[in-house]
Amino acid sequence: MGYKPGIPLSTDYIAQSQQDFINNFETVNKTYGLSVTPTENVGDHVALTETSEELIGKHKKTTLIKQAADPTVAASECALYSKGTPPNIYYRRDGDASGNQLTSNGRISVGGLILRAYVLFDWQGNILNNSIVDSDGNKTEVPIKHNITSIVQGTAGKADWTVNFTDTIGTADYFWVAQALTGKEGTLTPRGYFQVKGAAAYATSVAATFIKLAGYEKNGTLLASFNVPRIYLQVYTVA
Amino acid sequence: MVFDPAIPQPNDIISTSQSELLENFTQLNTVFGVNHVAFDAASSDKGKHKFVTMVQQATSPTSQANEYLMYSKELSGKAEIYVKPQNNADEYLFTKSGSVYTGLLPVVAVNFGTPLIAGPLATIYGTALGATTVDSLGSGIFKVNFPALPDNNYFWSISGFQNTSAPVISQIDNTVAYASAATTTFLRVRFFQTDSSSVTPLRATVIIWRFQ
Repeated sequence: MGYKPGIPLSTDYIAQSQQDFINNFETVNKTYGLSVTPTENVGDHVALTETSEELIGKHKKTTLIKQAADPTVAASECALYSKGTPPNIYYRRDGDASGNQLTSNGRISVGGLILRAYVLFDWQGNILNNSIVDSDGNKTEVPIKHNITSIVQGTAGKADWTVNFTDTIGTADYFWVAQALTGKEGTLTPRGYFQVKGAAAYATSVAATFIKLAGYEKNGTLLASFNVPRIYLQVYTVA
Repeated sequence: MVFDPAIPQPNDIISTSQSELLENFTQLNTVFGVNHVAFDAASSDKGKHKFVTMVQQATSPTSQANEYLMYSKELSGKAEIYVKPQNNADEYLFTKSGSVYTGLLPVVAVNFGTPLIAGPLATIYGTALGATTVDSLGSGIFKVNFPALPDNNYFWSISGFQNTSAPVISQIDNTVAYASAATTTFLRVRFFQTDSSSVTPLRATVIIWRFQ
């Protein structure tokens, strides 16, 4: 039986009330949260039956049920909640006219922009790594990329690359930041220009599934690829 | 009335306990139901959170091993979210100015280009952030307009796309002083070729970040 907030009535006998109390306590106990088992994690809170002082009263997880509207927030408060289809996380501070979106498309939204893809690579199209050292001193090499499948050289030996996205950006009207070190390393002479590869049509170089980047000599011919030793790309869309 | 944890007492009579127990069960359900789907809800979602209201803490709470805290504290007159890793490590700011806090906040992002339309204005493609219009000023110079920012000390990225293989140099407009190129309400950007001749790019993207 479910929880009954309206018991005991003044006319109830103890025998009836005793059962009502049991039902209520059992419902509260299960609804509030049960201890985690290998196969189950019921409820958001550490169980009421927990005995460890370090754990009682705390959360295991927070499941945010989608809200139809932004909740009201009083002075000196903020609220964290989910809204929309599919649901995303929002927060609203006291004085905010409406909620502020924190997630979108499975990523964090910063100021309304989502970083949809990024990569750091060298002139040979090799994606470079970030070295992460754990507390035991073990080093792991992690590729510096997100949502990137491959870097393909368009013209052999030339600064001409196609960067392929793993998941479609969903639009070709995104915002890109593409920067490179141009010029042969170890020299003082600047050389070349780096940009999205020129083409008769925008769609040839910028698409939802790839972007083409190139390094050029002053006369518009492609640089030799070794003259562009380091390249990075960031791709953003509005959340 | 409020929840009373100290009832019933051993010398209480039933008629007294009945009303107190009733009040406790009612209060328990009501108070829990502020942030949670209530105990007496018919939904299978009962017990889950509707939303988490975080009352500003005067001081940062302490975290133990194997836990991560999330709470709110006052920052510049607003309740912002902070997080603290396990073992009472240093807390860090999680939200600020209506966004996740990273230190830099994008305020303008626009993808624009030809065809130029009556105005003369550049066409804005897709959904822009912050930018309202982009004026074509001629000689490869465009003015990206946006709602007023507090100051003109921001970061920018400007990138043009050409329909030829000729390099296009994309930068903040240097034909005027910085204070006239980067203002609180617009950014003038300029596109030109290596011989300094102006270019109207087929497309260009501009992003502006501010200190958050």
